[in-house]
Amino acid sequence: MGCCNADQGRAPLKLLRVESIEKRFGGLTALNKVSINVEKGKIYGLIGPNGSGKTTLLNLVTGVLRPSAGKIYFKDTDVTGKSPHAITKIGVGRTFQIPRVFPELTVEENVLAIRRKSISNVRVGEILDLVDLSDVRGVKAKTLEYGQKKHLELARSIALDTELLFLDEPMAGLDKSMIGATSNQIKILNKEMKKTLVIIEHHLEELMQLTDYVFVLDHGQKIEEGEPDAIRSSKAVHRAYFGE
Amino acid sequence: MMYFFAYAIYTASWDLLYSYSGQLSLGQALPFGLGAFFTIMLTQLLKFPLVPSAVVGTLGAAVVGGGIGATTIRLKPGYQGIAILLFSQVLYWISLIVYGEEGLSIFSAAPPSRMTMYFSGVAIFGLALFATYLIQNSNYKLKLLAIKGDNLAANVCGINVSFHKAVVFFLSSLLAGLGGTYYAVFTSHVDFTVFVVPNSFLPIGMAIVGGMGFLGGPIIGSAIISVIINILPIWYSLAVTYFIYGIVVIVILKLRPTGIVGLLQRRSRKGSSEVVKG
Repeated sequence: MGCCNADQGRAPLKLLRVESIEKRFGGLTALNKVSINVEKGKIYGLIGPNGSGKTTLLNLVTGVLRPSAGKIYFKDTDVTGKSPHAITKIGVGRTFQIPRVFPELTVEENVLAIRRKSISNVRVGEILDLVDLSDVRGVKAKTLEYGQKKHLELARSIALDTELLFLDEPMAGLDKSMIGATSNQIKILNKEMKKTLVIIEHHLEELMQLTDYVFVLDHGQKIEEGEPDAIRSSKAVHRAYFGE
Repeated sequence: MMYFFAYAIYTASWDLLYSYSGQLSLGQALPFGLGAFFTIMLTQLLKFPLVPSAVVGTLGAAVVGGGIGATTIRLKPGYQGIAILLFSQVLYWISLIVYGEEGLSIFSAAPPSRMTMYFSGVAIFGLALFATYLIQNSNYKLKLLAIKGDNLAANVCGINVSFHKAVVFFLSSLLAGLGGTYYAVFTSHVDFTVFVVPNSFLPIGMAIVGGMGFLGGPIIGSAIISVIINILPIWYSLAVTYFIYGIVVIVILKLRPTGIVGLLQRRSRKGSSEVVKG
């Protein structure tokens, strides 16, 4: 199933393989036999109407929830049901839909508390520059505005230095200028820092411009996948969003 | 003064647990009492020399207290506090049933002099203070404050939350056990009353008065409360003493939740900013 042509005939490295994953909450099936493959170096979109199972899939991959059935492999290592901190150490990072910063720590301390050993103090400064938080580095995170908290989460994710990064609605609740800044930061993450990204987002136009490949969920099932142009013209996707 | 050393270490143990990792113990008398009981049991029942008994007693309190605490780390702070309180009450009844109201007295061929107790108090107090200082000035403190701030966010940021919570519980029990051991040696006696509920609430009141999360908080808090609960009974009844103690804690909590050290730091910051302006 992969998304893109192999570079010069070389098979692209499969970073993440989700195989027939299922999640049931009592009688409710939140995800039903969903499979996705993520290849190294690309930007993926994960879209679908509210309640389609996007965040549930993200929670399963990052260990926040345990799947009811199915398998998750990161670089061919079975990570199904592992704890979140173990999965992060293996190389999968994430942000949250509603930003979860460490409130009593300053912006800089938020990053210092969790950075990998490979991330020096100078690098922490560069990361804060990248997400436009240098001016507030000494400010307690709880006093930041909503958009700044989103950027701080992004800074923390960069400091974790994971190969694969899931961003849960990074543009939600942001104004036009901040959406533009976030788009640029995502491009830098992918092109310069060589991160593979999976982005959950409701700002579909911005997402389609950023991504190489898109997965579409609806009612807990994968209804479509493909390159952005193919998704735009997909009848199944239109049906999911706008009905018959 | 010796009460002050024991209480300051005891308070620092509770403060480490709550102010740094966000875990709440309403039964901190558990490791404190275990340190006291283990030490005296070793001298009395096994006829161990005093110093090795104190070392083993303190470590025993850390292992048993930390182990019991570790079973509660997944609970929310309020429930965790009540769970530990209940564990401490189990020990209250066990110690009452096994050793009765008279408890146990220390057995030592050469009991330490008051001077020895004073200097050993200074030494362990200094050691506990230094350990707290090291944590306060390390990256580990940031990790703990991240856990305190948001368990899930810390977890997905690669911090093994359960492990670090258990480590802090062990360190806290080690400090409380040390305080309990010292208390038992200088009073030469321990009984079931060491596990009573007011004894568990003592370090909480002291930390509130001194200032939670500050290095000097447990020192100032235990100095003030030690004076209230040890000196006032000379003139007043215990009921009046504890009434005054309660009023002091409530007033500080209401007017200055950061405690006396927090107030002093704020004043000094204000002062220095005025100097800069001037």
